[in-house]
Amino acid sequence: MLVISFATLPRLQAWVPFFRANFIEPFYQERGLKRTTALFDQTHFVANPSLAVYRAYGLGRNSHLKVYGPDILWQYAQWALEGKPLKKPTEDPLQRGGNFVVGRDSRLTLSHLGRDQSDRPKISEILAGLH
Amino acid sequence: MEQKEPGLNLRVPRVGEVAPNFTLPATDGSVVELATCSKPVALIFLRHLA
Repeated sequence: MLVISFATLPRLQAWVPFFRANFIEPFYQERGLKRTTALFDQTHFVANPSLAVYRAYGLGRNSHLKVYGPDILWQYAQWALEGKPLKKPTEDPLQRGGNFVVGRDSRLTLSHLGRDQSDRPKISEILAGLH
Repeated sequence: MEQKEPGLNLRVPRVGEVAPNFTLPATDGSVVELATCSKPVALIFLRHLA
């Protein structure tokens, strides 16, 4: 697996162990799963701060309407009423997520551009692309 | 709906097309070139760091 980030290499190098310790390991431990980091350890995290690769895969910027639509604003309003702290985004909120699978013949077997910030393909779709 | 970036003509490659190749530095100090990666391989583009 290749994870491609807009962040600079030093920032990504600092983030990967943080992500592993605070998200990946607790996720598996809470579920009693063994070999918690096998897939993570096989994953390469690569830095693409110029966004050249991001653009080569057709990933542009989303619209404000999609990113801050009624559902999202309603969610923020609920959090505010609950007293939860609302963090101001420090990154580009209009950036899009994308998932692709490259087959043995170097051709794509999955191509998915996120409609909004929550849209990712199902795990089953990714696994189907890998076979 | 997507904002147009000036000077950019973006197109998402479709299933069946050859994946655009790239070479990028990895956090483990290596340099990753898609063309030489073991395949199949999943590519995930992050939109933020948690």
